[in-house]
Amino acid sequence: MSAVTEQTDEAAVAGRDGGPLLELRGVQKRFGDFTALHPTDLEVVRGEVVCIIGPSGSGKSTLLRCVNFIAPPNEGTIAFDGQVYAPPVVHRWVPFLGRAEARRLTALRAEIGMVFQLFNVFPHLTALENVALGLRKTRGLSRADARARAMAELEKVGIPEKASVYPEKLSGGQKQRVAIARALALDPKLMLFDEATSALDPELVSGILQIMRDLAAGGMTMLVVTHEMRFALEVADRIVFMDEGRIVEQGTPQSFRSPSHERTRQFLRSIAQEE
Amino acid sequence: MFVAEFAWEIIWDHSGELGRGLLITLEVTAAGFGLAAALGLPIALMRTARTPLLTVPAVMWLALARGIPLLIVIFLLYYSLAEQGVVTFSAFQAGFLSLGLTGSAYMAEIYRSALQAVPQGQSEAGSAIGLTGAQGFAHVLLPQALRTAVPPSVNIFVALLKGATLLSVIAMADMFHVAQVVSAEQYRPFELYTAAAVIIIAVTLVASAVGSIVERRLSRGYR
Repeated sequence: MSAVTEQTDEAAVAGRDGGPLLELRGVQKRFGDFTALHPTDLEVVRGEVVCIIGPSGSGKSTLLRCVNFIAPPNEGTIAFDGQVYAPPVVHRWVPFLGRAEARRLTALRAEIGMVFQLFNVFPHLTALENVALGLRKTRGLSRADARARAMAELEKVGIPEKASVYPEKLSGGQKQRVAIARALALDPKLMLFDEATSALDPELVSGILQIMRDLAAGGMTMLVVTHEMRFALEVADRIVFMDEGRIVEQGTPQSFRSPSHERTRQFLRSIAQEE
Repeated sequence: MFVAEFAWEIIWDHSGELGRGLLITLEVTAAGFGLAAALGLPIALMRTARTPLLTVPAVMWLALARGIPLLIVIFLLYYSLAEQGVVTFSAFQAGFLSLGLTGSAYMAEIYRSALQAVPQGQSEAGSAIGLTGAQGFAHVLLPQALRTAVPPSVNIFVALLKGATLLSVIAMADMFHVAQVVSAEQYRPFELYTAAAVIIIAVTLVASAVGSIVERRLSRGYR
């Protein structure tokens, strides 16, 4: 807990508003009649690593996808780095109503890196081009600068030799490394990991987790949806347990060794059995 | 017993005219296909838009362009518009417009299904790296969709090529029209129409081959 306090102080020194980097207030997401995420509050301070755990369908991924408006929430506000974002206005008879807000959201997404369960690397681009695309279009780098920076990112994730290879010829672990490099290349202020290791062959998982561990050690602010309980206990500053679209409880990894809610205990037992 | 006497040399005697006709057929088909391919994309985007202000006109266009037989489109553009004093098209203009407008509906549906076939995660990944909707479309969705769109587009090209033979009704000097004229002069319909069919088949095969090459080029990185 003390680490968290220190980082909050750092943020204050850094001269921002001193508050959390990310602040969700009453964020809710519905799909038709189904409420995937009930009104939820969550704060993440600079440098903090928050791991979200919970059973499938508990709203973890939905929460994550609301943060960068990949799945825009229906209600609530999201404050990020001192700016507040609300659900975009969509009106079927007025096509370009939400244009200004959409531009703000585009700018927001450029500051938040996201890594997906199914990698979502671009199959028509080489590993290097995958990383360079955002640098060129979002950051406006020249072709040469973007390629140089992309190469450096591929080196950081350990696959510089795959630069000119298309995703088809890459393993799952290598694809995920490309995806991580693609996100990190933009110097994000926050990284979102949506079950980044769930689709990987077991022997490839540890390599990706190591990259995430290094990233956390380097001070990156991270919001991580994961099933890797051991990783969460080891790396997280805070663990959030979700069930049925709600945050059931949250606390330090230490506190999760003796959770207060029966539902959490139940979930941790079922996970322990699997391992 | 029927004993056929063929005079295939007639094809060689008129090969110059047939060749010039073929060139016109290819030109009008290529121009029509180009128009169809260019119009199809915006129509597909309108069709999949969120607002009825765009989807309704697109749906109406699809119904019209697919519903009116090509022959009637040709007559409408060439005769009816001129007769009403709206605009007088040359046979070639009326021809490529007929092919292009009719083909645009089919191309729009090809683009639409090709765009929908791109996994949703792709556009999400594009958004996640801060691409605008237009950038994501241009650099992530479209390149992947074009690859899937090529094989069915070749079918449309072939359909337009065959449809171009209808343009002989407005006396455009395409290959089929030449075949008709020569066959009437020489009374050799069997040889000339067979030759016309064989030439069309040959062009179809070439078009398929070109399509395969384009598809392979767009499939770099895919299996």
